[in-house]
Amino acid sequence: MDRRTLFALTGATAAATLAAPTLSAAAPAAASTAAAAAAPRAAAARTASVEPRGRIGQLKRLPTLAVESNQEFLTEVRTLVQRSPEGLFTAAKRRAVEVLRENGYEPDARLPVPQVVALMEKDPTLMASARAWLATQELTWSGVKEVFDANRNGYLAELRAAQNRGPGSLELQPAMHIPDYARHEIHIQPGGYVGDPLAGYIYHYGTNNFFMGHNTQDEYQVAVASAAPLPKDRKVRRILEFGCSCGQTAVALKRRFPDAEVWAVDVGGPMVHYAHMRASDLGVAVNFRQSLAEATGFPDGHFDMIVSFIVLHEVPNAQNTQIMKEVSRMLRGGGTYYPVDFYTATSPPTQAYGIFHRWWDHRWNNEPWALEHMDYDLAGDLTNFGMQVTRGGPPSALGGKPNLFAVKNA
Amino acid sequence: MATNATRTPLGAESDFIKGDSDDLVMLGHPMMDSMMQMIIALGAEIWSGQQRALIMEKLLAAHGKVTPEMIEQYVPTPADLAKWGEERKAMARRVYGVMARNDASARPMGSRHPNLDRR
Repeated sequence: MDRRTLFALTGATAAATLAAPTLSAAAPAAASTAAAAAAPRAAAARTASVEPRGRIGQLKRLPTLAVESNQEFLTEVRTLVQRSPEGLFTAAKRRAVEVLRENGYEPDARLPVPQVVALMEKDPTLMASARAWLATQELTWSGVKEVFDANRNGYLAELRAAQNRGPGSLELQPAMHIPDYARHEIHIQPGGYVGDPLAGYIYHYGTNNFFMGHNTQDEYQVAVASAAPLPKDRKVRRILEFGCSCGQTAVALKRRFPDAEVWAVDVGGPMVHYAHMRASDLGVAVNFRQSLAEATGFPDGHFDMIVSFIVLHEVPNAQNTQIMKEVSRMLRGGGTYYPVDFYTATSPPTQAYGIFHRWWDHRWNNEPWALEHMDYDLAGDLTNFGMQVTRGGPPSALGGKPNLFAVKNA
Repeated sequence: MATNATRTPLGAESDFIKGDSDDLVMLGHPMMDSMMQMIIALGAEIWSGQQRALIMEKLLAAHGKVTPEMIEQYVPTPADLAKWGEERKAMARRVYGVMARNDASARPMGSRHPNLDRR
C-alpha cells in the first residue's frame, strides 16, 4: 500500500477542512464567524497530512507546507548561528578569548573541563550562542514530531505494511534487552532512538536541520560510502554498517556495491523499521537487523567491509571497546573497517571555547557519551584486537581531512 | 524537547530515559530562555506565511485561481528553491544578525557619548 492510498482519506479530510469558507469583503457580517474558524484551519494546515506531496530528489516531502517551511527556516537560523561570520558562534568565540583574558589566562590556555565551564557559564554572549542553537534543536524536534503525530495511525500502518516487503529484509527483536546507554533521548530527540515507533521519521527529517540543509539527498552518507576503502584484493561480497539509524549510509553502500550483500544494524527497532521501509521504497536491497553493535550474531570473518558513521561518540568508551572487538571478529583477514566520527579525522578540542562547546552539547543536547569520547583510544583498541590502523585514509565527509581506517590482520 | 507522548506500539520499541532539557536555564531566568525560543519560533512562523504567499502568487499568476491543495502540492522548481533560499537567508540575517554584534565596545545606558565634546 503506498502513501497515496494509505492517506487518501486523511488527505480528503484535510483538504475539505482547509477549503472551508474564508473571510470575504462581500460578507462582512460573517467575519467574526469566519475569524473563529480561521484558528482551527491554521492548526489543520500545520498538522493535517495532505500527503503525498511528492519528492524533492529522493526526499519525500514533509506532510504539510507549513512544517516544511518552518523546518527550512529553523535550518537557516541554525546555519546563521553556527556558520556565519555574523553568527552567534563567531561572537562567542571572540568573547571566550576575552573571558580568558579577563581571568588572567592566555587564549590558548589548556584548562580542565570544569574550570572552562565555570569561566564561561556566566557570560551572556556565550550562553546566548548555546541557547539559540538549542532553541533551533528543540523547535526542530517538536515541529517534526507534531506533524507525524497528527497522522500517527497512518504512519504506523505504513510501517506495518512495509515490514515484510522487499527488496531487502527486516529483522526486529521485540524481546531484545536495550541497555541503558542506548535508551537516552540522544540529541534531545523526543523518545530517543528506541522509545517512539515513529523515531525513524522524526530522526530523518530532524537531522536535515542537523546537517544544515545539505543532506536532503543523503550527501554526507553518500560521501562516506564512496570513500570507504576496499580490501586489497578488491573482493567485496558482504558489507556491514553498524549504528545505521535510518539507513542512509547502508543504502549508499548498496548503490556503490550492487553485487554485494549489505547488512545494517541498529539498536533502535523503530530506526531499522523506518530504514527498511525507506530503502525498499527506493528499490534498494539492504538487510536491516535490530541488534547491538557489540553483539550482532553474525559469523566470524563474515564481512569484507564494515563502516560506521557518527555512532561511536553516542556510545560509552567501554562499550566501544566491545564493539571494536566485535568488528575485528566479524571481518575476514584483509577486510577493512572505515569509521567516520568526531575524532577519526581531527583531534578533540584542547582550547577553552572548543571544550565549552563540547560540554554544553554533551550536557544540554543530550550527548551523554560525547564528553568521555574525547578520551577514547579507537586506534589502540583496533590494534589490540588484531587490526592494522592507518590514519591517512580516504577523507571523510566531515571536513575533508584524511580519515582513520583499519585492516584486519590476515 | 522531551515529551512522553502516548505511544502506539508496533512491537520493537522500548522504554526510554527522558532527558531534562525542558528544565534548561542558560540565560539567567527561565523566562529569558523561553523568550529566545519564542523569538526563533516566531521567525519560523512568519517565514511559513511568507512562503505560502509566494506560492499563492505564483499559482494565481499561472492559473488565475488557487486552492489549499494546489498550494500544498506545489513542487518547487530549482529556481524557486534558489530564490526562496536567498530570501530566507536574507530574512534570518535581518532579524537575527544583530545578536552577533561585537559587544566589546558595549556601553551602559547612562554612559556619556565618547565624542560629545567634539564641536
